[in-house]
Amino acid sequence: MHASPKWIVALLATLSVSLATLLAPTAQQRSEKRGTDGFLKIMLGDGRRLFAKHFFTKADIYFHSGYYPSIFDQANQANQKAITHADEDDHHDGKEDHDAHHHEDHDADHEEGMDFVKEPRDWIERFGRNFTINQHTHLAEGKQREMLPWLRIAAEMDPQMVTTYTTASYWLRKEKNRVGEARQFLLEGLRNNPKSDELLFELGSLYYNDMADTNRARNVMTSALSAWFARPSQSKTNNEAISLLGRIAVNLARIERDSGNYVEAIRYFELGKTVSPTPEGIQAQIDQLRQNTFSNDVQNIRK
Amino acid sequence: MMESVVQLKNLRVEYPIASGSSVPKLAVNGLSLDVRQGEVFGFLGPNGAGKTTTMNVLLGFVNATGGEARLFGVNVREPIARQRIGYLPELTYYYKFLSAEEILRFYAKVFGIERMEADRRIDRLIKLVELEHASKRPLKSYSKGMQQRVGLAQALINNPDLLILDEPTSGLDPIGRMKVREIIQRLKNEGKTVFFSSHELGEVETVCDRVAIVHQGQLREEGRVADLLAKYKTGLEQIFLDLIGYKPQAIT
Amino acid sequence: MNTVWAISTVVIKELYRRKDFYVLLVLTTLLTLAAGSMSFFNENTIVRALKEICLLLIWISSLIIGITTAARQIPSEKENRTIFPLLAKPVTRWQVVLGKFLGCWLACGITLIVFYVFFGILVGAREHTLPVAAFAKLMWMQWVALGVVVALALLGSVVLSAPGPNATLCFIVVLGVTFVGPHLGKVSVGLTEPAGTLLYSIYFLIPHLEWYDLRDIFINDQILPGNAACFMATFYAAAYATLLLVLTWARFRRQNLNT
Ligand SMILES: Nc1ncnc2c1ncn2[C@@H]1O[C@H](COP(=O)(O)OP(=O)(O)OP(=O)(O)O)[C@@H](O)[C@H]1O
Ligand SMILES: [Mg+2]
Repeated sequence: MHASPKWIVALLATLSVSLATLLAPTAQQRSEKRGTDGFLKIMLGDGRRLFAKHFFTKADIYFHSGYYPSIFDQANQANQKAITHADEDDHHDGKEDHDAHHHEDHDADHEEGMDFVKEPRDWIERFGRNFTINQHTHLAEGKQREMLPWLRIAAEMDPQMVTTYTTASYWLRKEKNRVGEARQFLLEGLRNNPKSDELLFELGSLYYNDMADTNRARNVMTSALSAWFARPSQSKTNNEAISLLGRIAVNLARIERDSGNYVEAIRYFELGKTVSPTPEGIQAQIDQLRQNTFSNDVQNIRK
Repeated sequence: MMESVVQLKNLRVEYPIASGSSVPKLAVNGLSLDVRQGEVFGFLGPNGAGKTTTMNVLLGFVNATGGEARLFGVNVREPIARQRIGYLPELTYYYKFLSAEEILRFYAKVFGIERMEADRRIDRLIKLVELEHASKRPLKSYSKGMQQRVGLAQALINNPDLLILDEPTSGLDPIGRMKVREIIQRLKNEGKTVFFSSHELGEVETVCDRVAIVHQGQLREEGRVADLLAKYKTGLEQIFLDLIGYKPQAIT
Repeated sequence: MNTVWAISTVVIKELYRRKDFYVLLVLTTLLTLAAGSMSFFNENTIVRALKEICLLLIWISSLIIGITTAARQIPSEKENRTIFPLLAKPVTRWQVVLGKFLGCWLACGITLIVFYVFFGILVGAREHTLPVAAFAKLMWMQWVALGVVVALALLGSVVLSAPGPNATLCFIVVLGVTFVGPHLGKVSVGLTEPAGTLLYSIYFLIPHLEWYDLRDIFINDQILPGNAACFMATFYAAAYATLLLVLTWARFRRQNLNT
C-alpha cells in the first residue's frame, strides 16, 4: 500500500535509466569524438557537460522543426557511409565562404545526414510515419528564438562550451532589437573563456556589423587574432581553425578599409588570402584597394 | 429429502511443493460431506486439519486437486454458485479507505441489488451490527472488533441462504461472541443454512445441529450433536481429543 | 458490467483518497506553473521549450500514476485480503481484471484532464490562442497508450506479485519500447542470422507506443496525424490491451489464493 524506501530507490533507478536513454544520442556523439572514454566515466565525470551537449542538440532539433535522426539512424548512416563512401575523403569542409557563420558550417556538415527517412520496410514503419515528423523544414524567420532557452540552459550547464554562446548570439543578432542581449551573452561567455578566439571574433563582428562601432570592433578583432596565434600549434592546423583565421583576417581587413587604413587592410587581406580556399575573390578585393590607394596617393600628391 | 446445500465428494487438495519440503502438502484427503438446508453445521478439527482449505475450495479461492465440491448443486467453479452465499473470512480486512456504508453499497452492487433495496438492507445491517455511529467513517478508524462486524454485515448483504463462517467468533469480546451466536440462531430460525468452523466446542455444542470432525485432512466423525453425545457418553471436547488421538503427557 | 463498474469505482475512490497521488498531482502542477513563469532572454513569447518541459512532466507523471496504480491493485487486494470477500461473491476473476483495468485507466484519464487543463491555461496565456482540437488529440492518444501501459502493469502484477519490481520493470519496458522499439526493425537488418530474425520478430510483437507520443509534432508546430490514423492507432491499442488483459486473466484465473 504505502511506498517503501526500497520501492522509491527502484523508481529512482528507473528514472536514471530513462535519463540515460534520453542522453544516449549525445553520449554517443561524445564518445565518437573522445574515442576511448568509457560511458561510465562520462556519466560520472562530465555529467554536466553531457547535459549541456544534450540541450545544445535540443536547440538544433528545434531548428529542424523536430526532424532529427535518432542514434539508430545515425548508426545506420555511419554504416552505409562506411560502405559506400569508403574512398571519399572529407574534402568538402573548406568550401564555405569565410563569412558563412559557424552555425551554418555545422549545419552544412550534417545537413547531408538529414535524409535519414527511407522507404518504409514494413507496415509498422509505414503506419508509424503518421506519427513522426518526416519533413525537413527549418524554423521560420522570427520563430528562431524558440531555440534560445535550450542554449541558455546549455551555457549554465557547461560555461566552457563556446559554441553555445556563438550560436545563441548568432540567432539573437538576427533581430535588431536584441543585439544588446547578444552582446551580454557573448561577454558572459568571454568571462568564462577569456582566451577564446571564436568568442572574440563573434563579439568583434557584432560590434562591426550590428553596432557599427569600428573602434571597439578593431580592438576586439585584434585580440581575436592574437588569441588565435596564441593557440597551441597542433590546434592551428585543422580546417575549423584555419577557417576561423580566415574570417578574422577578412573582417579585420574590412574594418580597416572602412576606416580608410588601406595599407593595414591590404595586409589583413593578404593574410586571409593565404588560408582561403577561394583566394581569387580576396585578390580581387586587394586589387580594388590597391587602386584606391593609388588614386588616394595621386590626389595627395596633387594637393 | 432436504436439499443438499454443501456437497463434498472425495475432495482432495494438494498444495504445491513448498520450499523446505520435498513432497506436496496434502491438506484435504478424500473428504466427503453433506450439509443440508436449514442446518447449523459445525466444522471442527485441530489447527492445520484442513478446515480453511475446504472452505477456500467452496469459495473458489483454491482449486481442488481431485473430487467434487458443489454449492446448491452447482459446481463451485461456477461463480453463480456463490450468488446465494455469505462468507466471513477467518481474518478479515476490508478497503480501509471506504466507510462501512460504502463497502456495503459496493458489495450490494456486485450482487446486482437495486438501489432502493440496497439502501434498505444497508440500513438494517448497520443497525444489526451496531455500527450506526461509525457508518460514515473510513474503516481505517475502526477497531478490530468493529471491522469484524463490518465483515458480518457484508456476509449478510445478499440475504444469503447459506452462510460460510471461518471461526466467526475468534477475536471478538464476550459480547461480540454472544451477538454472533444470536445471529446464527436467528438465521437458523429463518430456515438458512450455516456452515462454520470453530475451536470453541462449548459454543458448537449449544448452536450446532450437526458436526464433522476432521484431522489431517480426513473425516474422523460426523453426526448430530445429540447422537454423538449419546454414542460416546462424554462431552464434545473429550470426543474431539479422543478422535485426534491426543494423549495427555506428564509434565516433567 | 455492473460488477466491473463497481470494482473500477473502488479503484478511483482509493486513488483520490490517497495522499501520494495528490502529492504527485500538486507537484506536477506546480512544476508546470514554475516552468510557465520562467523567462529566457527577457522573452515571454517563447513557447516551445515551455511546452516541451510541461509535456515531459505530464508524460512522466501520468506514466508513474498509471503504472504504480495498476501494479498495486491485485497484489494489495491479496495482501490486505480484500480479495476474499470480493471473490466470495458471484464475481468472476475476469470481472476483477477488467474492473481493475477500467478503474486505473479512468483514473489516468482524470489526471490527464487535470494536467491538460493547467497546461492549456499556461499555453493560452502565452500564445493567446488555444488549439482545443490539437489538445484533445494529444490527450486522447496519450490516454490510449496509457491503456496499454496499465494492462501491461496488471499482467506484471499477477506474474510478479511485488509491486515495486513490477513497476520498475514496467517502466523499463515502456521506456525501452518507446525509445528503442521503433528502431529494432532497422537494427535487425544489420545483424547476423538467428539474431536478426529474432529482433525483427520482437519488433513486430512489442506494442508500438511511440505512435501515441505526439509531443514532438505538437511542440514543433507540425501537422498532427489525421483522424483516420488516430482511429487505427486506437484500434491497435485496444487490441493490444485486450490481449494483455486476456493473458492477465489466464494467469490469474487458476491462481490459488490462500486466506
Ligand atoms: N498455501 C499453502 N501451501 C502449503 N501448505 C498449506 C498452505 N495453506 C495451508 N497449508 C497446509 O494445509 C494444511 C491445512 O491448513 P488449513 O489452513 O486448512 O487448516 P485449518 O484447519 O484451517 O487450521 P486452523 O484451525 O489453524 O485455522 C496445514 O497443514 C497447512 O500447513
Ligand atoms: Mg483455518
